[in-house]
Amino acid sequence: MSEDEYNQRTGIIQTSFKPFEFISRMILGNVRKHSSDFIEREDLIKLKRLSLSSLVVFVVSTLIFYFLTGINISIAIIISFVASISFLFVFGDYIRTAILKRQQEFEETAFLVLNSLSINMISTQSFPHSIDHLISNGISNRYYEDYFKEMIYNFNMGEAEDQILYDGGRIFRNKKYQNAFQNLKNEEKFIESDPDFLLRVKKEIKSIEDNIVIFVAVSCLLPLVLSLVLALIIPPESPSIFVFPLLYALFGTFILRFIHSRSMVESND
Amino acid sequence: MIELQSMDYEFLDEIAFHIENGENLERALFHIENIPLEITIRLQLGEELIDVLSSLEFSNPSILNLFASLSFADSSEVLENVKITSKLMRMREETLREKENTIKIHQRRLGIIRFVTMITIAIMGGFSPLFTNLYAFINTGEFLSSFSIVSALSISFLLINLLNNYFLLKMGNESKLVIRLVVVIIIHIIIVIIVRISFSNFSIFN
Repeated sequence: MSEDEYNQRTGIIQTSFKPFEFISRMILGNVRKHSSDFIEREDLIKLKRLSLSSLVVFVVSTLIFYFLTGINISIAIIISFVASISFLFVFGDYIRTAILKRQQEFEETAFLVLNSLSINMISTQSFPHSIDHLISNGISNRYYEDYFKEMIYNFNMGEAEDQILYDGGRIFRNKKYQNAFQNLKNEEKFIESDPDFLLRVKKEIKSIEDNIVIFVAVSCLLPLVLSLVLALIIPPESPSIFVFPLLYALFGTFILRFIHSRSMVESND
Repeated sequence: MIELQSMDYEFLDEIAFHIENGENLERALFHIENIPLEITIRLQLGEELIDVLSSLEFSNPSILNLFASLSFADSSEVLENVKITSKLMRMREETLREKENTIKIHQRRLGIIRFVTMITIAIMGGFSPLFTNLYAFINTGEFLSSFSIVSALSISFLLINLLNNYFLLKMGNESKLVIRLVVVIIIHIIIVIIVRISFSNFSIFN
């Protein structure tokens, strides 16, 4: 029985608000859309743990601020709220960039795999042998390694070579690479001078360099201005000053996310 | 295994060049400049060509098969294959090198930015007792006499410096984040102490 059916039968009105769903949407953002294949179960488990521990951070820091420094309870709650949100975002960004890095490595390896396969294909003149050489040479990416090992297994099980060649390109996300894989046995050789991953790396670097001015300006001006303002309105030893690095953490994470998602959208267009 | 002194594709290119000039594979090997001495000696002693070649260490071992067919098949077709293989290998090496160079330049630029912002924030952190005193001055009309090094404000400056470095390191895709951040903490503290010592020497604060 599916969850919906169960809810209908038991008459439970399911609310659309699921806390974890909301948090993962907030942290992963458009990574969920563009790199959904690279989100692994471990990432989601880590994210779940992170969201629970941010609750713990909230409670612990409220207690610390309230009892140790004796400030107003509402200020303690506000500081702890900012602390737990920035904890969630900064460490969530760590998970997020790990997923993005996985995807980047995967795309980079696509070019190298096809290049090695064509070299092997020319020298051995046999498709199974070239895949064998590819695996014995070692592929640094485990997605490809598992995939081609399975392909070798299919060869050994007696599947037709042409069929494997025809279907085998589906691991590549790029249509051009899929075609190149299908054409491995043909005369048409895979010679690509400016591979996509290189363009992607350059685009990302360009987008960082375009936005770095904002980051640098804020990273130097924000501390100065805020500390001046804070010095005028808040007693210097008050723990509420710690809101300021927390806000800075949030700001930095958002800039990083902004840069990443811009280069991601651009390269997917 | 004997290591080749040049890149695989350079080796293939030279072989293709000599074969095109009418040499056979064996003679082509004698003509190549960078070939290890051991190989030529073994060839001179009359060892089998393929045995000698298979003791060479290529980064892509499958290209040995190219030489295996070179002695029998139609040489123009094989020659074509040697050329395409070397082109493919060259492409691979050049792409990887270009990527590395691009990232290195980017990391160097970010490194400079990181260094400048780190020093700026550390200097601000060094001046943080001034801000602290400003509050006291507004409220009580006089400066505090103490300039404590450890205050909430200076700790928050240290945190900001760490975060700033962390974000810039992340943008540059750098490794060994923790070690670099420890270095940042040390430099920050040194700069703060220097700034503190130099401005506490001014008579206005004494």
